[in-house]
Amino acid sequence: MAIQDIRNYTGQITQENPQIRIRLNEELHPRWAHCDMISRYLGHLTGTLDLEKLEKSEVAELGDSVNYVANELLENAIKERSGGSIEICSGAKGHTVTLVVSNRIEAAKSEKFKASLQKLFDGESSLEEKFFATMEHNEAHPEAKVSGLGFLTMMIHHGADLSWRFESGEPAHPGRVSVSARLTASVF
Amino acid sequence: MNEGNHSTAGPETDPVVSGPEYLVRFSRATGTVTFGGTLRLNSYDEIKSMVRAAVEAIGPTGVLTLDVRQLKLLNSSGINLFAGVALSARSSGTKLRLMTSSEYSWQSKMLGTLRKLMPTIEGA
Repeated sequence: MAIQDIRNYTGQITQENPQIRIRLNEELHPRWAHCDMISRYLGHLTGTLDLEKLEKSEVAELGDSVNYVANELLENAIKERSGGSIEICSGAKGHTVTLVVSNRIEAAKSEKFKASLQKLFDGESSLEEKFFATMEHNEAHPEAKVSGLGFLTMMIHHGADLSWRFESGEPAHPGRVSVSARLTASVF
Repeated sequence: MNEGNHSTAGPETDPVVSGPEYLVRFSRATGTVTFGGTLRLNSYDEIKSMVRAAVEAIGPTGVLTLDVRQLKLLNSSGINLFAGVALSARSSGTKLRLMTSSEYSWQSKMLGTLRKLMPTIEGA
């Protein structure tokens, strides 16, 4: 299968050897409510990961970021998935937690997803300028069904280093998308 | 968690939108919209309508207080809700005050973001 990487795929996706792996199988009928439940759980578990020594407040803040980002990634997976399981993995090294969420995705949705990422990183305006422009755009277009703020808030509010991996499929077997978010504690 | 949402409003009662994990109430007496619980919804249409109505009710000369101190969690669509309220208030001239808690780090981040959209927003 072809693998296409967009932007700064770092090769540090921890799917192969995570400290935590949760799989929502099709039989569970993965749904919106699961996102909040699982992300809270992962946030609480942050302090138990194999992190280098951090102050309690630093772990708490990192846990808040894990909770927020995991929820956003899972909400995206619920919206974009084409059947099959959703998997979320978490691992830590140094002062960094890596989350990876993967799900099946149809070719058409996959192409739309890639186009939205290109739009996010293309052009001369900064991510912050795009963040505020997106909010102004949403206010002017209230009919829009998505806010387009998920990845932007992960990067701007939580300093997430994001990367994406697309595995192509066949008509009868949708491909797979994996999104990785690296979150590093603010060490004072 | 969109199951079980409901809203109530009437001449005697303050508007409320609630679900299993959250409650949003507009007090006409104090000009305050209070948010509590966890807001990680797929659609914010009901809450958006209620808060927009609150901005209109306060009008261009008043101050609307948004009290999020008891709001534990919010997703990006929820941040979009607050951004929309700030932009709407900026257009109408309504002043905004955001009451936050240091217990939840995301709240100060959101206040910083809203201040870039509406520099006059007051933090408390």
